[in-house]
Amino acid sequence: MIRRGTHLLVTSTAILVLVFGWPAAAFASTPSCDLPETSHCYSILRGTGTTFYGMYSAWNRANMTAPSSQANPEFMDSEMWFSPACSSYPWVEMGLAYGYEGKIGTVAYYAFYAWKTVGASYDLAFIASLVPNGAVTDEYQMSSPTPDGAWNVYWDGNHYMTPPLGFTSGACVQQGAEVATSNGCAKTFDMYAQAYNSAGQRVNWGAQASVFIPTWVAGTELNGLSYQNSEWSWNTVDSSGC
Amino acid sequence: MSVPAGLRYGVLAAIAAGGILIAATPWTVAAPPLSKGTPEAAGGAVSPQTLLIDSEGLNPQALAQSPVPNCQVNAPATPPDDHGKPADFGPSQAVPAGQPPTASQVSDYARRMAGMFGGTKPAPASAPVFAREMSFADFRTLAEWPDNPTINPQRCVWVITVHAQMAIKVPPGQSPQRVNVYSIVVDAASGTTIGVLAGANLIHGRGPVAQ
Repeated sequence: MIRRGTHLLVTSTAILVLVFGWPAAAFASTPSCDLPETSHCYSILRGTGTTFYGMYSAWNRANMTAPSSQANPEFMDSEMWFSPACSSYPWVEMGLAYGYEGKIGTVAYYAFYAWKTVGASYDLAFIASLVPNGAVTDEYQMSSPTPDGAWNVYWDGNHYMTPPLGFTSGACVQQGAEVATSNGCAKTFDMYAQAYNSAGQRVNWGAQASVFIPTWVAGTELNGLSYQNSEWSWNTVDSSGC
Repeated sequence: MSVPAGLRYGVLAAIAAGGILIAATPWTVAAPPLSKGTPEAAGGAVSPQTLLIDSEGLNPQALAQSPVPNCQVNAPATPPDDHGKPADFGPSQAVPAGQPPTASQVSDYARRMAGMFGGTKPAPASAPVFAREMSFADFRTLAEWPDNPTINPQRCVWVITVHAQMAIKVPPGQSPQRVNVYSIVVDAASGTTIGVLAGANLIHGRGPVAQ
């Protein structure tokens, strides 16, 4: 775990927000991000065009909540994805989520990693239940795959592994929000990522783009801005309740 | 029933609690490892260790005995770190730290996990649920999961398979998907969730399951 000063970013953020402004609207608008037959909602930064061998990111434990309950489990998260190509299988991901998981019968704020290969189950492993604290930043890393594609996963320096996933590099790196709730709330997550090149060095992503899925969530439910290459800041439009 | 060498008889259990009956058949230690379930795999023979959990309380012949899995409930090392706080639930609903969850709690929890990724509701009470307590090492073999240095391989875990729809996470931009079966693994001593396997039919039962 590391603690980082963020006053510089806050200052630059404030300037940019003054210039461009966060779009103002209520998060609880409909249609929601929890309709059974719709995709989840996303506010992400996507890097493409360069082959990488893993990714790293660090972000704060900003508060986020969702009206999750035993009868109506919902979730939202701040995470990163790595895959050979965007919107395809297989992939490996890790991040920080709020939802109906954790100790039995509880809603939790937790760190996780997960993976999916073609024709196999989607598997998710819990790393830790946490307490939101915007002043604390955690480090997330997925890198150094073995020749058969078993990925080494690190959370705050603690080592975990995936099973063989069948790929060792990828040209799609993504980070940001995934939301499956109609009325969630998230303070600002400032996510500072890099990617691993063939020499094992951490480098900026290069070509990148902001992506909102579906597009109508931009400014109506989710914000997202990149203040520098490989960095993504996101929150819910209305974050007053969390 | 003949039992090969290396197997040991366990006991049968059925706990009627809150309308849930849990019935167990004999336990084994040296049963061959099962291959990881496929997303749509169905049924198969009842594993010797399988607990059939249904909502109507069948299998009355299996009352009042306890299964003995080959694991240690309090094996040292930690399940996933637990520094969190229960939210949105009263103390009576959350399992206190250090108190092992009951089989019915585990079953109910497993049903509700059908909605953990949004898009699907908790599994109905009629959904077939199969559970087995085993060591984390056996779970890893069963699920083809890699080692996890934070969890003692001898620690007892519950592995629960639920036959119900679960919406799963997909990469950004991909169409939503659902699976018809999923499994979860829970630390037996603390109730802490260790993992979710959406699409994996790990604990098999003989169908159709009486409801």
